[in-house]
Amino acid sequence: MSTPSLVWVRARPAGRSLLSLLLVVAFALSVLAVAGEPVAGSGGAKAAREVLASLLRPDLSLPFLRTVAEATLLTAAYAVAAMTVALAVGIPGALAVSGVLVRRRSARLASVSVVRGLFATVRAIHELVWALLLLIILGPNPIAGVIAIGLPYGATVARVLGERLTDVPAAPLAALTSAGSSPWQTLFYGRLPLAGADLAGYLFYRFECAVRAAAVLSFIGLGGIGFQIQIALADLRFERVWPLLAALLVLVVAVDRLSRYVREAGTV
Amino acid sequence: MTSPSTNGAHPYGCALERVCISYAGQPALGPLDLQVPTGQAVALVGPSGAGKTSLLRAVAGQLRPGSGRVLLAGRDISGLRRAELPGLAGLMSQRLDLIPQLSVRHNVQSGALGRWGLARSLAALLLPLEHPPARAAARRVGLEQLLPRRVADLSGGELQRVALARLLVQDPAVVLADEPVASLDPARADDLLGMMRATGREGGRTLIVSLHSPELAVRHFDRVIGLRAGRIVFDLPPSRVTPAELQSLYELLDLTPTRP
Repeated sequence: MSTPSLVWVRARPAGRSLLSLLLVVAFALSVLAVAGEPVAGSGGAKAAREVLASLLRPDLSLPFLRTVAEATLLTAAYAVAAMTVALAVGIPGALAVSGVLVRRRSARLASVSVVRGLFATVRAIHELVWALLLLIILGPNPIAGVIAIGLPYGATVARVLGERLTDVPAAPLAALTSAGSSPWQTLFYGRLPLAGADLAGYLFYRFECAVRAAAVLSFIGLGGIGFQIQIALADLRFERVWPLLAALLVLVVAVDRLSRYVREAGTV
Repeated sequence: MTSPSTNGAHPYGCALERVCISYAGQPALGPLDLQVPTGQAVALVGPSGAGKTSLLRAVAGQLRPGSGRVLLAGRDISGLRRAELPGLAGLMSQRLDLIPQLSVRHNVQSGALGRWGLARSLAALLLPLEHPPARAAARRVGLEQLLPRRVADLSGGELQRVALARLLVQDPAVVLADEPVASLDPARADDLLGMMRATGREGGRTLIVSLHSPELAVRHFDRVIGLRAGRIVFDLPPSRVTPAELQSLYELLDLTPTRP
């Protein structure tokens, strides 16, 4: 019994230990709070057994695999469409947010603060919430889904891209400027190459996120993997869920590979 | 490279009149008077902190003097339009400030950005277009074979030559270089300075180069200026620079802390 008291005595001067203890208690309480609710519905164990059992006999029939392939392509297509919107919003946004094209300092500060606030607002709303809002306005259709992903992603791209364009070494840029380079020329000959492979890597990471978001947002009228999973679950055909999840995994890994390939190619 | 402008006929490539520069209240240079005839090759020697970089940056228009005037081809630098400066003076900084991710070709071409519009610049970046002045400059410094290589993959000596080629494409009347051979071995240093001299002579360019090594200054330049604590200590033709002179330049610095 002496050991715990010793710990107390030693820990007390640090002052942080009390906080740590409170955090541990809070964590324990939060776990208990969740655990208090039923983890699974009635017959949850039976359902879990069924889901796991289905893992051993996934539906690999040719017609279904065809459906999986189509769903995968559709999800990929929606992700590409969403990224296109994101880039269309994000690239001009990045130029505006960073103010790299404005020579005069006062004008730059003014424009930057206004645009930054605007994009922060768009970004603050998660793509799921955008989807719900657009569902009301546009009804369930693929365009609503693509915009729901593309808009907040565009705002995020604007911020991150804008920061990357600003956080490049200043001296090489100054050298270009003193050789007579305009802000636009400096963007292409200095900022973009200096931000470089890093930038491409980030955009691919966003693309990966868009793939997952496109799979999730099936309820708004985006067909594809998410929609097929939804149907399979509703029909309790778990053996169909696994091939669909595998397809999603393949898609995400493919994007990752593409990203690595592009980054290793070096220049953007 | 052709002679840059009609101003090339002006007797003085650059001139400083009572120029003073200070950083955060600490004087770094001057008051300093200096006249460099067009086409002359001047070496600035002196210990670190003597004001060599400040002088070069002031002539390049990158540093506004606290007082006094800087004249390029007889024109006050503070009255120039932005687009005029690149043709009058160009500085090769000690860090070179190249873009490592771009090829040698694109780095060399970027010297022409002041004369190009955006469309031309983009075409030159994205399409495999030949820009004859860039190739000529690369050939002049012996880099023609390396044009497609990424700058990040080059050696120190090659980097120096890329920076020089970029400056040749920019084609300023006054070429300024801050410690261009500090990171090179003696053979390569000789080589680069010889190249700078030759390209300067061909274009009728005025050359001002800061150096750590007095030997190189004496060997390659028309005029050697010793700087210490922001002042000119001596200003001599190379034949009259004696070892004693140089020694005094560096020894004087050691006495500085004891002076009031």
